[in-house]
Amino acid sequence: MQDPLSLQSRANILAALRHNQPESSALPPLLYFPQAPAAELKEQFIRIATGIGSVVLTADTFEGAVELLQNTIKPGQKVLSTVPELSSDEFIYPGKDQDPHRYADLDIAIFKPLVAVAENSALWITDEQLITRALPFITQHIYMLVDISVLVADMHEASRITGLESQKYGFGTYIAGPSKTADIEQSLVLGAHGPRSMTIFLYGSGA
Amino acid sequence: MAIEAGKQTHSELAGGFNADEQRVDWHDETLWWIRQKRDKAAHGIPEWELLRETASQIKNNVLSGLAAYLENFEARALENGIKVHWAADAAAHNQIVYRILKEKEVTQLVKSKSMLTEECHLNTFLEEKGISVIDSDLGERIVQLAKEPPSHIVLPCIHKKKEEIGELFHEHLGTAAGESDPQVLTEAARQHLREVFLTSKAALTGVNFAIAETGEFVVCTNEGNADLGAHLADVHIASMGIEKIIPERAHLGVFLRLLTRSATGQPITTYSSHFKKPAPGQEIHLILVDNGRTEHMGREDFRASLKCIRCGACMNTCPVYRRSGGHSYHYTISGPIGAILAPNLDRKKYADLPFASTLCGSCSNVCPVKIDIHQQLYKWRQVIVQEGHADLAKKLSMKGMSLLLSSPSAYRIAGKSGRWLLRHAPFAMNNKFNPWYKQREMPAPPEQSFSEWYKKMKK
Ligand code: SF4
Repeated sequence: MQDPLSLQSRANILAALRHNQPESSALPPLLYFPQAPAAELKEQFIRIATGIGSVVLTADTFEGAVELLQNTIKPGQKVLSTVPELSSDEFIYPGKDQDPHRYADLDIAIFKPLVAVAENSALWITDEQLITRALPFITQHIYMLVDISVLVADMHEASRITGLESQKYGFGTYIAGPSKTADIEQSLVLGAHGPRSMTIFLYGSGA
Repeated sequence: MAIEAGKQTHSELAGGFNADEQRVDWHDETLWWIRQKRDKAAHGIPEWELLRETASQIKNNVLSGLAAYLENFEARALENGIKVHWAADAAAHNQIVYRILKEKEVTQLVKSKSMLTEECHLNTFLEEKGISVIDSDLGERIVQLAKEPPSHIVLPCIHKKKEEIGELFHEHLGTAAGESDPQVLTEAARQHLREVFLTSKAALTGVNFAIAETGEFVVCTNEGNADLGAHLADVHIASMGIEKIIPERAHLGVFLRLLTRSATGQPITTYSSHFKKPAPGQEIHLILVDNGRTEHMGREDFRASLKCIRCGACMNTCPVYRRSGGHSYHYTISGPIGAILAPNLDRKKYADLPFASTLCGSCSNVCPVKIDIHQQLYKWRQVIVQEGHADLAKKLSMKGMSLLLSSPSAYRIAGKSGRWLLRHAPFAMNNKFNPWYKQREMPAPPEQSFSEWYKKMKK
């Protein structure tokens, strides 16, 4: 299957490494830190998300969050939801086409992350939920419906959960805030190539 | 600024950069500001030092078992439907990319940030074959339009003023003459590159971490350009140096916590994308590249530089980098890490780079994987002087240092007094060797002097 040159390189690389690599050095223990109480995590999550340019709105219930969400949509905006509960006509422009090029003019895409991380406000979504992988990147604005019960303290806990056997994915990504760049004289500009804004609807008891 | 690699030394090139004093001050201040953001982010994590130590130990383990990890990674990746290629050197890497593109009759490749493809000079190679390559990271697009190499591994156009970028965009993207507002210029680039993303059938990305346990690889960006390119294309090529492996998925948390805090002070990049399987109808090709790395692995005193996760912190903190600019290093990777990587490839051509340092040790102190950068710089100096490239040392701008190094006996004395000074009066030491002294965090003096080390090495 591989071409002969690649196979030759493979053999040479592995042989050279086996000859040159140092004596075995043990792996350190996996890190785990006690998780702070939910109220603290929530406060931290909101502070950090806001700090990196996201807008956070809170509601007690999922229905409350959806109401907030609907109020932010302007007439004429093209919206696509990947959340099963939001599948009425107003949320499925232009249908669920898998060709990502179809979404070039999409205004808003809505997702329900599986994990939210308090220390950096990253939200984990996978292609199990995405209609097509390009969706969270090609949309002009991104909406996240975040159940407060998926909030964890840090990336150690997030890595553990997202790596569980049950978490099957071909593609998964942590997204923290709108796309951004500071390449021109270090001035921060939101909306580099991906979404120009991220709105997080945080809901659940205690939210 | 024309860069002719190998023709001028770091100090000569730095001299050019230093001609514009205001620009140097601005460059210095900007990078120092980023360094301060890094400090703030690091100090916000109580377990920061534990994270660094853990990352360092994980990477030591990776180096010690890399062959087996690569085999495991390959097996898992193949199971996941990723096509894996191996490249002995830059030429082999470029050939593999070309073959894939040719087979798919692709004439335009959209590329996200990849220092490895810079190292391999992929763009020039493909363009000679009639394939246009478009860098999609904003900073990289800017230096590409300016026909310059990146001057920093994380901030490719950190040396450019917004007015210069405005002129480039006016010429190439049709923005209004005199427009230099970053918001307006970024929007113009967004529109221009959207078109490119939507029309490219192939995309190339770098790789930040490749997980041996699962065969997936992780790409981190802020702009979303790697994802837009990869997901809109039929073919995704990912190029990685063989040292990018981490053993288990659970280790990823450690590195994702460290990487961007060290780089820019952000808590994490906007996107940390995990590619495990190709999407239906798409292909993912992963190229594992050696290009000198296996040989480097054999150099006991220098192999730790293979632990680098390319965060750029050592550059932002380096007083010499800040005041000489990335291009003065005349190597793909600039700054302290570039200065210890380059001599592995060509000791003569890059003989000057280990001297482009005050050895203040700030780089080692900020490095998230605890590479002993400044000690490696010291050691490279010994090797280079002993191998007879000392004439280069004479060209150094810091006369004291070159004098010190031209005579082994003077060096030995200075080595001892230097260590004494560092221990008893670090400020004096810095004043003497470092006219640009700014950083506060000083390293512990090395236990072994460098001449002691060299004696040992010669045995
Ligand atoms: S050597 Fe360390 S500080 Fe420098 S880029 Fe690499 S990981 Fe970052």
